[in-house]
Amino acid sequence: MPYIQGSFEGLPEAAKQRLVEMRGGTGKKPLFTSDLSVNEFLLCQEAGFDPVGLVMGSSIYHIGFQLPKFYQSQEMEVLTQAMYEARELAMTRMEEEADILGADGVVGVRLEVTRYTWGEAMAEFKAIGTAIKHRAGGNYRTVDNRPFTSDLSGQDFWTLLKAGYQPLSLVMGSCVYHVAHQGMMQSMKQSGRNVEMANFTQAIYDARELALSRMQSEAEREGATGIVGASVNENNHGWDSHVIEYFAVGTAVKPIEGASAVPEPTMTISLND
Amino acid sequence: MAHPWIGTITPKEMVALAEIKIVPIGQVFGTSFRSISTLYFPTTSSEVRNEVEAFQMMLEDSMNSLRNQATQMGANGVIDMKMVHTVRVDQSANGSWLMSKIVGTAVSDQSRPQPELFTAGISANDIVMLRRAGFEPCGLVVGNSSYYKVAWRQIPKVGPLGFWANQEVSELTEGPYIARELAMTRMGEMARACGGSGIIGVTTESEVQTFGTLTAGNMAAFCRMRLTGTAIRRNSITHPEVNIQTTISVS
Repeated sequence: MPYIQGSFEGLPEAAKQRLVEMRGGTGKKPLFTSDLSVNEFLLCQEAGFDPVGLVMGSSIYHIGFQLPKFYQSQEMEVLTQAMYEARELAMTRMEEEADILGADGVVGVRLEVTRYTWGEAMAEFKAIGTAIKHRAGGNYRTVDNRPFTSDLSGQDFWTLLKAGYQPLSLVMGSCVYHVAHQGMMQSMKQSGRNVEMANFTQAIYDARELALSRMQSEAEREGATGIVGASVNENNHGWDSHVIEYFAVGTAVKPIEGASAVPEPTMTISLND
Repeated sequence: MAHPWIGTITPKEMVALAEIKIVPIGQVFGTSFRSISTLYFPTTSSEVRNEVEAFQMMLEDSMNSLRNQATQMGANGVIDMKMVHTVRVDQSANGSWLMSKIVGTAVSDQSRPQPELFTAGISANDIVMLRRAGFEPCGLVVGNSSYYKVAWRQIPKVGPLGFWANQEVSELTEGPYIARELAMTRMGEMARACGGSGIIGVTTESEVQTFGTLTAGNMAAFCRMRLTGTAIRRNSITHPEVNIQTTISVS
């Protein structure tokens, strides 16, 4: 389900109604909710943004099945596609909620995957963050008019803006990879010796590269000049021990036109230990 | 000789609080246990009212107990509040029960009218920051929901081999979503009732328990959602005086 401007597909009626009420649309007093800490809230305010609501998208997804070749390192395309599609569903619903609130973007986005004991092939994918709106009506939405998304904290968001950059989109790259098992001969050859396990090393390199290159392609599509706060996480999600997901995630950024230089930092000695 | 006061705040926080005329008085607790009548799951998707009502009454009891202690001490605020909720579901003779424990530091805020007692789940440092930025906490707010969602119509979309394919289980997705909406709405109402214009530091606790199996077509999900945050509003007493600087710590 790709993002379509003005579509609120997948959101329950109750969510749409509550979000409209939060804007003061039905005669109720406007109210914002946020998972920002006090410091983050005040820094967003100082940067000219007001929080407008805690937004969330979720999807309980059935992950299909793919049989890997035992002695071959390979990408598990069915599983990679599932991880992409389910995260996309959650992200799109979160962006739709931000749209109802009239937000310019979502900060502090967390992407969570929870496996339950009751559904071996199922997982719940969640995207949660705080939608914010620029007080002076600045244009911070993406080129295709989506609200910007970022996993940066309030502190990092403030610093990024002060450094003359703006967040564009949370970009991600996923690759679920099967690392080949070693053959009998290979196991015997390395018995009692210090040797590199080349097929394992190569498989992990390949998977990481695929995840990173996909994240980079997403950033290029957004017109970004860089990705900040990038991380690559490994997770097995309860599959076979030789199947691993490499998940690269970060915030794509671009310079703000006409932004001033970064203010010189002050040195401090903290009273903390 | 007066008893020494007890508080969860650190010496640095005490100094910061003194600057905005808030004095710690003592630690206060609120605890409540409440049994739930046998959990009766409806045959169609709907909220499990007896658990929702039991939770709300338990929360009210423990909050009232904490407020009474604070008032008796002469406080007009409770800050740095921590909450723990436990749900024990037991279908045996012992029955199911809920427990709530709340702890916080009672304070005397000399800049507020005495009878008005505020509660906050944020630390002393955060209170000072908020006050200086022109905001004040007005209440610890909670929203909860226990929702039962049947997923009996969820069938594989691509025939008998459907469970080999990637697909969203949309009926199950709706369960936690609706539970969250109900909890968010209740938390929002609580914030409006105490005069808040926003809620910060919202934390989410969720739990999904299922019955039956999807393949047999008799699956149902029981979704619990608890949200906690601190309602805030603009403060007419102070003028914003937060000075933000970029610093490099030498620690």
